[in-house]
Amino acid sequence: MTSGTPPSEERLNVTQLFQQHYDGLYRYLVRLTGDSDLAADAAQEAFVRLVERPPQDRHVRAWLFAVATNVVRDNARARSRWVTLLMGSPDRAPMGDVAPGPDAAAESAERRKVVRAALDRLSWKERTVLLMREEGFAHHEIADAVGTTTGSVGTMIARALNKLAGELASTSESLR
Amino acid sequence: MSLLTGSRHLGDDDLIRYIDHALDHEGMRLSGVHLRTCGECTARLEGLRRQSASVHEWLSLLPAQPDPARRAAAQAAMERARFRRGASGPIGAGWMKAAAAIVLMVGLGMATEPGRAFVANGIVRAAGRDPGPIATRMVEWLGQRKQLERGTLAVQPQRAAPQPEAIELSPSPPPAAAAPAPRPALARVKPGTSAPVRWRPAGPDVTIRFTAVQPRGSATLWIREDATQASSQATRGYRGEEMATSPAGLVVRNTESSRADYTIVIPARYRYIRVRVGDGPETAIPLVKGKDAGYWTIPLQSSVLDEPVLNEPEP
Repeated sequence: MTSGTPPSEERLNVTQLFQQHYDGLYRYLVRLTGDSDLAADAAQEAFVRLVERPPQDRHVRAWLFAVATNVVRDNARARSRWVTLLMGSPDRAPMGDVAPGPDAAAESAERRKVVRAALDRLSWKERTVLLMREEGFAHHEIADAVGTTTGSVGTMIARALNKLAGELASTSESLR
Repeated sequence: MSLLTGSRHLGDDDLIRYIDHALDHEGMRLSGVHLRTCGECTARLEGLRRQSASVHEWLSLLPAQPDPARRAAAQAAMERARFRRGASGPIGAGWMKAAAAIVLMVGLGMATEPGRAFVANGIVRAAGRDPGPIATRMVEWLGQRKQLERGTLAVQPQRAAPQPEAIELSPSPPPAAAAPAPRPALARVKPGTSAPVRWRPAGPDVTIRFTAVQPRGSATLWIREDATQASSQATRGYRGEEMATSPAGLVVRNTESSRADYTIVIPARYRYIRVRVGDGPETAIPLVKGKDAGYWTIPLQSSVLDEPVLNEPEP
């Protein structure tokens, strides 16, 4: 699992970095938060900070994800949105996909709702480690982003994976 | 196992590390050896792999494509930050230049008679009406007591004078250009601040973006075209920056400690825009249709002062 070369080698061609990493960062953030606006805000902020205060000794991609994760977590607006989301609107679907037909749309929306609700039942750290792993980050990079030790990342991933897979398995049974 | 605890089997966390290659070489080897002989751990390993694949599949149902408009906005914000960084330059280098300039000025001031007179003049101006004992002694030490006597009289009426209008909206040439006599001295305005101006053809319009960083004073970017055809907005302005459209032109005003980004959209049928910054000379900038985006750097050296001080006429 690699996540790019150190900034000294890339010399921070920010436009190129934007093209390479924006979509992945946005995907991660929208999964993390369930809110497309918040995800877009945090992704934008991460890239602005990349220009203003570039990382000195870290892989750029991991740095971007860590910064965006912190932006989302620390943002007061994010907190209030989170409360709203957790209180009962897990079906809020991010924008940007091509609209399918009515039946498919209904089923797809139902499934999205299920996944969103299952993700929301994970703790912040569990969700972060799981989604960063999904994006292909190494355990030490995930540890940096969530502020924990590399050794505990495996434990957190295993727990989150069990929890999420269990939730989704039971729900998928009920959907059939 | 074994790996960390000495127990018989691998834990789920060990198995996840094994799957993710997060163990060191020895750990991977030991785990591999164990898995080849332990059916229970192998089954759990396969179970975790299946769970990972299943979660991956479920997560792929969530929409993940960004809104193109938000993506473009994010890139634009990043580019603005880039221009700001370019305009301000490295902080360390700036301080070094400032320190070098001060040393040079002091050196020149001490070395020549006109320089000593200049420094004394500055002290008199700074001290104002009632120069204290320190200012008086410094001026005397420079051998410029005459300046002190004259300066206390000269400074007083200027301080009482009303503040000039910082921004001139009219397209008429500035009075400073027509009148040769006393030239305003720059009072506490850092020269040489610049505004990278970026333009991009976009359909029937040309979008002009620029970032203005003006540590002190005011500056005007004036686009002399039929500005009623233009639309404009100041974005990310923090300290009362203004942009006004009038038939005479489009005026951007930076205020003290401004740091703002501006976006101006004008019709692409214009072949040129003429830009004047403050009371500086007009610059005609060609807008070449179909050309890729580019940018100019327009110096935003303010000549509109908040505290103008006129040079004293020779007696």
